[in-house]
Amino acid sequence: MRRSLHALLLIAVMLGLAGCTLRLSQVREDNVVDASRYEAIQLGRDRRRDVLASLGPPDRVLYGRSILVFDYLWKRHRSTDMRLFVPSEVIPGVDPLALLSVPRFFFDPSEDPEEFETGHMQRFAQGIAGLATSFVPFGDGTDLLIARGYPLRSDRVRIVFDRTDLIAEAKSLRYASGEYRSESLTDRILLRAN
Amino acid sequence: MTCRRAPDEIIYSNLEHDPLFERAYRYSRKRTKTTFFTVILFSGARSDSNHDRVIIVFDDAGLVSDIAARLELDRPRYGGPWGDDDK
Repeated sequence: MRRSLHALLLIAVMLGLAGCTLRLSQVREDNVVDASRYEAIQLGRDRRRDVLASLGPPDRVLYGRSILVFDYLWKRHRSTDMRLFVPSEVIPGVDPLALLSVPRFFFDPSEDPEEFETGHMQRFAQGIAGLATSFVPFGDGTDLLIARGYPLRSDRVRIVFDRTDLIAEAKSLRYASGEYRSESLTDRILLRAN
Repeated sequence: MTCRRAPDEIIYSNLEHDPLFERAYRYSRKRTKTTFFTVILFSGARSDSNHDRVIIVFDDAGLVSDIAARLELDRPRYGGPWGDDDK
């Protein structure tokens, strides 16, 4: 019994040293923009002051030639994955996952597998960073994602004002099921009415 | 305008093309709460950040034309990485 326990511990330590880790991570920044307040916005009637009063200060302000843009962002990332860091990661044509028959999971549908189509050296560097961040605490979730080579997805509400300070366009951009979906405020209201 | 703190960002409208010149001062404070643990093969992490934001817009005469604040610095929470409590 004791011998088998030792063997199990040894296997666990060896796998740990090989850099095989199962990671659950969740990074979130800010609260969701209130949908009812967004839908209450009146195109062609409300002004900048009304939007600021309703949605608060934007995350980003852009001045165009004759337009003003307010962007409200909600950033989120969730993932569950098993990653390996082994020297074979940098050998072309050798898949370390297949080599060790360890599955790789991406439970979050918003994760785009194409994001991981990177060069061997980049993967190597990300592997080292990923291994380091697996065993040490971190301060800021955004930094952690960048170190691991993950993007931070964001949902966005964009309000565009024309020269006369009236709302010309209001659009929500949601990242869902692996692709960005754009939805204008007028479409959304029509959809709800039907 | 006097303020205890310098703004994080000053955004200017396009003076060259836009006759209505104005500028916006943006203030931001961020608080992050992180949970992190590693058990040899398994690691879990959750990071929740929230911001306090203030934006003040000045017109070409230097007077405040618009102001808005969103104070959410006390909103981030600790928790497990498997949680799904969207706010």
